[in-house]
Amino acid sequence: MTDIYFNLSALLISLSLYYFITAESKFKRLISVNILGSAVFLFLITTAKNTPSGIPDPVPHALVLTGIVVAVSATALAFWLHTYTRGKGKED
Amino acid sequence: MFDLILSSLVFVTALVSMHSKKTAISGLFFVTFGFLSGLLWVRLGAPDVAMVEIILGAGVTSLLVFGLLKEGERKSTPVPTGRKLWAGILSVLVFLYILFFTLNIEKKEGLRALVYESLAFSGVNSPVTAVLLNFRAYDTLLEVGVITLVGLSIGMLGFSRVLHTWEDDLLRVFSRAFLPLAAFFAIYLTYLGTFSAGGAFQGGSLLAGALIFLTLTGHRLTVSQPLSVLLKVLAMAVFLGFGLAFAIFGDGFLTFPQSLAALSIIFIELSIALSTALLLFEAYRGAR
Repeated sequence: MTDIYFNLSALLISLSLYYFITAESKFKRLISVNILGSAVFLFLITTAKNTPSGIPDPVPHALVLTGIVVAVSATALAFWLHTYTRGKGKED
Repeated sequence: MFDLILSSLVFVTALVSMHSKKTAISGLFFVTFGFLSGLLWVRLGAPDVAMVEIILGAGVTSLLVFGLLKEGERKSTPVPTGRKLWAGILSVLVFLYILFFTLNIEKKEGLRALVYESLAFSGVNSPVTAVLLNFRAYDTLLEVGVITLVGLSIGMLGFSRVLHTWEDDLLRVFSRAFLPLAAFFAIYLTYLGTFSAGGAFQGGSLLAGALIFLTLTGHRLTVSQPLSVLLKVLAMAVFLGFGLAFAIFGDGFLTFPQSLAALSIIFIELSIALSTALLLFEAYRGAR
């Protein structure tokens, strides 16, 4: 079962890397980097599942949990800094 | 078979999202990709991660991505072919490398046995929560530090914007009535993490989702600045406080003594849930 997910993660990592480098707008770049993050998490969780007994290893799960939260915070900060430097925020 | 279908769906949504020239299509397929990855985590035996991925990865990230939608439409610059060429070569090399690396990967037990053995001493009954808040508590402390830093930075920028509101009276009333129920369930989800799938980040992000829903239907939720800063640093303060208390009076920094482990973990989890809720809500709405 883990074979197909390893292949999927390899495919997604390489594809999102390509689209990240050849992105034509910041929006595209943001989407590609998020998909890259998800693909790397997929790789981590698949290695967690890749145990002889079949019961997943909880340590990579904790790492990915941390990773998702940090990635979302980074995306949020990037978005707000971008909005701030463009002067697009409405004073509320 | 199910794995094949799920993987194909994930692949197709990711590809369309990244390749499409229309930003609206990109955004929509990105949301779908987020939800499908949630399914992926469930299939791979990681329900805690699935919860966080769907609320944060599919929910909040999509909201932030949609905020840049119009600008992405306007500002696209063409890409030189030279860059496409070497990027293509690089990505093919990376793909082949990972493929060959995972072709002969051996099944290893990893740290699973160690975690399950030490579970009885950790104070909780869920292996992921035990790893997150006891065995690797330092990682979680730094993670809380990161999101506190981001939350304070967003607060310092000092403005908010309204992305979009539904002009729907029924939804407006519903979102307000739904909030106490969601808050109650968020606390329950946090408590659930001590013996089942769940935990602080799941509960906190659920509460943030309910607050974002409130803003989306037109309510204005203003948090006064002193209260906002207090809530944001609460998790960091509680976590550090426990760590230092155990350093001074116990065995070491963040070394939970077995008798106090359950109690301190539940305190830390509740404070993380509260802080994460406000931090993620302001990540969407901005400060003030």
